[in-house]
Amino acid sequence: MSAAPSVSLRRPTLVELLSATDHKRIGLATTVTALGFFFAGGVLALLMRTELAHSGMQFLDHDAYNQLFTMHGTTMILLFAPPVVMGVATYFVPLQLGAAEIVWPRLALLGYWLYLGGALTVWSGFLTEGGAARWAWFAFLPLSDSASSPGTGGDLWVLGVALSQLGVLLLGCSVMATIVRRRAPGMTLLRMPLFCWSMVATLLMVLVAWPVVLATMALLFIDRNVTDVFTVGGGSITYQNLFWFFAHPLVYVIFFPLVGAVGEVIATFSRRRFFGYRVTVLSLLLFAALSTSVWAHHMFTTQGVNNRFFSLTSTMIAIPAGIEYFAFLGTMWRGRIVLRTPMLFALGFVLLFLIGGLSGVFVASPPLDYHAHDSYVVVAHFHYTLFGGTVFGLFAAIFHWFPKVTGRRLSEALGIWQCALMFVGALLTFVPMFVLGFDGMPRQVADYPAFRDWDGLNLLSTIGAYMLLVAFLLFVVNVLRSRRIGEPAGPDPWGGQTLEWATASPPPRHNFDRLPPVRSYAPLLDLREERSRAERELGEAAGGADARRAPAAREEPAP
Amino acid sequence: MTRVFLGWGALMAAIMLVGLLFVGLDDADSLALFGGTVAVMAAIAVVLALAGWGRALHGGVRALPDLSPPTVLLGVAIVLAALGAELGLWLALIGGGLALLAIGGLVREGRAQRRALARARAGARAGREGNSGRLHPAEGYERPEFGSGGRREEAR
Repeated sequence: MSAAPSVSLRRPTLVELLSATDHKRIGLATTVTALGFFFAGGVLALLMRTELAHSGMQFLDHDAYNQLFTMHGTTMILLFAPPVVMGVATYFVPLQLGAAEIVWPRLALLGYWLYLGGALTVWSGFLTEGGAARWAWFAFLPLSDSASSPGTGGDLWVLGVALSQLGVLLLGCSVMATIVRRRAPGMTLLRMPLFCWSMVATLLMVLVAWPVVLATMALLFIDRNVTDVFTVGGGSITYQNLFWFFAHPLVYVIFFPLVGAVGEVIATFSRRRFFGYRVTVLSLLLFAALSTSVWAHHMFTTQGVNNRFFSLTSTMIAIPAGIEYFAFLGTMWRGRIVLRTPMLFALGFVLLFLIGGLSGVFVASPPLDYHAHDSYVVVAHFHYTLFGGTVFGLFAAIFHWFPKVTGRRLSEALGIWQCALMFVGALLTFVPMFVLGFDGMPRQVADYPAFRDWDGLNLLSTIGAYMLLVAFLLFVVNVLRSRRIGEPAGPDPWGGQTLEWATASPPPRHNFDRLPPVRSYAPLLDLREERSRAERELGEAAGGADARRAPAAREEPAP
Repeated sequence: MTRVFLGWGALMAAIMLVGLLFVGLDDADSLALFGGTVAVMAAIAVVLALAGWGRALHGGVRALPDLSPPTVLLGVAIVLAALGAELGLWLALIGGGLALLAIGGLVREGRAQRRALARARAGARAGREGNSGRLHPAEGYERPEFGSGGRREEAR
């Protein structure tokens, strides 16, 4: 048990890498693991898009395709997105709060290992005789019961999802406890950075929704292996209620932290204090409450829920979302906008999530949802929210914080190329899906009839998916290159506003040797403003004295 | 922070009441989920209030572990035990055995941590100066006092 607040220069041993309780190591390990699963899930998506590029089967049979879309959804939604935001939060929340460490570091470490073990368990389904689960990432009953989907792969899916989400819950508990107990002196609740508030809203949902999925997976396992649980009476509706009570907040658990991160990126690169901070904090809490109250809009067509109530709550989500958009625009308004890569990704996030959000207003209406249900409209909608929202927001955060983590900047040129390719690729991949969906193309099908003339749009979508692959490969190249020869960043390369920029890059073991006073949610901006005010006053005083001595000197041009 | 949990629970209760106007008492699943959410938030708020954990803790001396191999072992043990439910009792037993070992290791770590903390507190009481954070290469860490105008000067 030792800890010196200095950067260790030697390479960590394997035991140190695997069992370090430093929140930065745990956060980095979680983030990198989650990004690994993101690439794995992306490969599955490419296989599916290649299959769908033309009508008529090419190289995947129906069973393999069913496994692929199940594992793609599971990987992206359960094994990539929540862990990656928890990883980023585990790294940066203590730094932003001015804390020396995370609360319950062993719990966070246990969370990482359970997540990794669970994720590998889900993927190990591919190694079993009958293959992986093939019931989509939501595992509706009766498709997921033992009669319809026997086999070890399905059981491994259930166990793996439970273990990985238990890991996410433990990481979340640790971050929440840190926010409650480890804020630096002066860091009152309303002086916490926006990212920390977005994590509060996120973790409120995690605390109520994640235990439900653990219980649901336990019951599903019992249903498949011991005795009927969901396969009696209205059990399948109960399963959907339980699953969506977890899975709808899940979308916002992925989204909120990136709203916070993008808010900070926008404020930093607009050279302004975040506009409407208090209203945005309140809107995040309202957003979280409404997000926990809309799960049954996924079940409009089951006739098993009250459509009017859940349509009302779903539509009301537009209010806090609108407030956040106005806050983003208000921050940029009259700001001195600097278009560096993090800001470009942040703008991409704002634009693409808008498409996802607006299409969400349509499917929040039960009559329109009846039309769009189980079609490619839904696929396009949630890819704009999840890809447009999560992935663009995540890359804004990665480009913003990479210098803090590694001490080196990512290449701007490669970053701009990546952002441009991702933006065009996202539009090319997902806009055709809206058209295909409205034309009646169902989702989760390995093939479609040639006479429907869907080939062209599907080919366009596949080309877009390959553009996304190129963009992500550029990112990998950028990271590998910048780790070795990237421009040294220094402690504060962007003119940041929050406490993580007050320490070295990368931060020492216990984060800070000293902290600036915290008087607002942008303490470093306060310091800069104080300093420039002092310099101005000093300059004016000196200028006044000079003017008295030699008035003509002021008229000389500056060198 | 207690008020945040209470306030958010109250917000969920308000949405549940609006829901009752629409659904009545017929939709047991929805009512249970809403009611559970409100109850969890209320329970967290009560625990924080009663234990005095709702406020940030400043200063003080803490001993922190740098590494925790037993925690990793516990994680592996839990995964193996869970997989035992599918792959056989033998794996569950291996997982259980590893979990016992891990718990033993965690108890040992906890005792070492308490000893380090006691030494660190004694050192702090003795007015040990030069608070660079290191008390002994393998013992404990005294958390620096930030921004309080004490031993640490504020950054300019």
